[in-house]
Amino acid sequence: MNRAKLGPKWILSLYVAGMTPAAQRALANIKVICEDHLKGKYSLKVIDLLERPALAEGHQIFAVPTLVRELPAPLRKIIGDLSNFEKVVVGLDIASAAAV
Amino acid sequence: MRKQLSNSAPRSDDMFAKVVEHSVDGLLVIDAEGVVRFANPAAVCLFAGKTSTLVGSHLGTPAIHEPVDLILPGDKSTRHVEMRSTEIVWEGRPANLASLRDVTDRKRAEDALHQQAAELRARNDELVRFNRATVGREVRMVELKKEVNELCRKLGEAFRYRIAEVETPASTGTKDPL
Repeated sequence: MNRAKLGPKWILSLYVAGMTPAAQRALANIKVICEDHLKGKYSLKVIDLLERPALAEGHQIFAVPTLVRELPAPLRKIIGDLSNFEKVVVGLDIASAAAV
Repeated sequence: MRKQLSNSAPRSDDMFAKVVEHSVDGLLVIDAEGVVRFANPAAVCLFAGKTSTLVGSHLGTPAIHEPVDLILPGDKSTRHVEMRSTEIVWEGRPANLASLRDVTDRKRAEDALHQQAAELRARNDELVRFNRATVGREVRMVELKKEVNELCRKLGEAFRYRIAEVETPASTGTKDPL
C-alpha cells in the first residue's frame, strides 16, 4: 500500500478522566467519524487523566472530554461528547486537511 | 432635555454587561479555532488554578447537541460542570457561546447516593445468603433426625428425636426476600 496515496497520517488523542458517560459517547462518536472520513489513515489514542494526570499539561487540557488533533498541524481541539458531527468535522478541518 | 435623559438612563450595553458579570453561570465566547475570546467572572472562577489568563487560552471548540457534563481536572479540586453551547457572531465572526454550570455538589451527592445504594445491595445480598445457609442447614438436620428415627423404627427401638415441623420457604409458599 502506498502511503502517499492515503494522504497525511492523522494522529488524534481523546483526553478523558475516567470513562464517564460523556467520555464513552465521545469515544464512540469519534470512532464513527474517523471510520467515515479517515478510514485507514488515522490513529486514535485515549488518554485517561486519572491514570496519567501529568499529560494534561502537554496540550493544556482544561476540560474533558477533549479531542486533540496532533497531526496534521496545526493542533486543534474539540470539547464535549462530540455528538455534533458537523462541528467535529469542521473543527478538525477534515475536508481541507485531508485534501492536502 | 433629551440629552439629559439619554445621559441618566442606563445604556442597554451596560445593563447586559451587568447581567453577564453577575451571572452565577460561567459564560465563554469561543472562536472557531477554539480560543476563548470572552469569559465572565463566574467562568474565570471555574477555571481558576488551571490557567492564569482564560481569555486567549486554547480551550477547544464545543461539539455537542445536548447539555454535556465536563470535568475540569485540577491538582487540588476537580470540578464538574454542565456545558451548553450555541452559535453566535462575535466581533463579526462565527463563534460559540458556552454556558457552564457548576454541578460539582450535585455530582458528589449523586455519587454518595450510588455508593450508599451499592452498600445496601451488598448487605441485602449477604443477609439473603445467610438466610439460605441457616434455613438450609436446619432443614438438613430435620431430615437426618427423621432418618435416624426411621432406622430406630426398623430396629424396633424408640425414636431418638422429637421433631418439630420446620417451615421452609417451599412449605410456606414465600419467596426469598430479594
